[in-house]
Amino acid sequence: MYTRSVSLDVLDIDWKNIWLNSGFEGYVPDSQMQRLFHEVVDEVAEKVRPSYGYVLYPNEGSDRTTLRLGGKIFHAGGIISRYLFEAEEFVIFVATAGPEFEALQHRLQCEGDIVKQFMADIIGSEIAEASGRLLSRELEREQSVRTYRVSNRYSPGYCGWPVSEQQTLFSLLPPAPCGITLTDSSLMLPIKSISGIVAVGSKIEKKPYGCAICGRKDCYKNRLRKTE
Amino acid sequence: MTNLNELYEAILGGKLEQAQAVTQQAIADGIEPQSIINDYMVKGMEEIGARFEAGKAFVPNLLMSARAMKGCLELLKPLLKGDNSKSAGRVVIGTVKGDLHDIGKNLVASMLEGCGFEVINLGVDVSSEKFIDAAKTNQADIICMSALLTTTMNYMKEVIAALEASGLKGKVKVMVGGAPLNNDFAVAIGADGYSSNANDAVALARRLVNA
Repeated sequence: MYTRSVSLDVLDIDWKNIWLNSGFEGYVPDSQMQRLFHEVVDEVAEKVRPSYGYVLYPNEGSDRTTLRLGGKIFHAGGIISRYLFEAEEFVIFVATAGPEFEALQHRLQCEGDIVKQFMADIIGSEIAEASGRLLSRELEREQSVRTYRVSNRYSPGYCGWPVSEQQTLFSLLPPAPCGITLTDSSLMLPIKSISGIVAVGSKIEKKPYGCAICGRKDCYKNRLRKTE
Repeated sequence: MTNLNELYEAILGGKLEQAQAVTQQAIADGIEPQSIINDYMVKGMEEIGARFEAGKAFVPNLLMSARAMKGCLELLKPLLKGDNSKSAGRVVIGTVKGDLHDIGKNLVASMLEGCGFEVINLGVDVSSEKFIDAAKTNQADIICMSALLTTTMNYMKEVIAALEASGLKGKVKVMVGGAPLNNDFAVAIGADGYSSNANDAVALARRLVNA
């Protein structure tokens, strides 16, 4: 498994995502609020070491509803599978804000500062997503040499893909990849982690946004996208 | 003499230290704690809530006000006596099994606490057994459930079924929230109420406790 650990300044933190996920839909917070967020980011930057990693598997005959790789079958559903099934290869990935971030969150919780806890929570999610974006950019560079294109990242729990298939996904990775473990109900620890699949190949089409292929009106990602 | 309007402004502006300083001064001046809470602190929370509803304040503003309110309540709690010291209600809150998203849930928990509710926060990935046990142990008035994923929101129905099986349905009210939910979903699964944001959740909890 390829893994990489980075410092926070290597990541492309998207402040628009932070404002959006903090509830500032369509607004930029005032300077006082921005200062508070930046203070938390500075504190985070001193301590965290985000990381990501992935493994490549050949496509073993996927179809429009299931993805087959590594001797496993993923019931990713029609929304995801129909865009990925023609891949030459699949990338199984994880990315995380890391255990140091989890420790920082725990400390803030013990201190009882609900404002800082909230801000750190939003920032942690963005760190995990930014780590995923960095991984995608790296994959795009590598695969372009083979004239392959790279899909968006898709994760169990989204677009109708059962979250329980995290167990299958993790079975295709070494134990505790990037320090991430799964609970019995298939949730990742540290909490600020992401996992999923990326398709690579000559027939793969990169959508402008992951949610562009899924019209679920009740999904929060679609709702947030519409407010941007 | 304490200028309690400064307390109102500090709560509204989410200024914890300033709010606590005024509260300390008010306590030293012998002002009735219940009056400090009801006439100034609650009014400040109501105003930030109204601004939030009007789109003139945002989630972090709500939280900052709730933090200031909570900080002041901690100073006043030892001075409250008799019926007036009763909490607004006792709420068991958690994100349902299979779901780890807790920003919204924690926001609701903080707002409820800031507005005088006792909150037992069970965290994320909470099973129906854990919800029911906590409701029984803490003699809760409300179970408050959150889910962010379309793949996990249906678990709320299982929790309500377990509540029914335990004989607590009706005695313990159920309120639900989370991005993929709406009122129709809440009604369909047998919840007593749905709220789309933390401010509304406080109003709903008050209605359910007083129902």
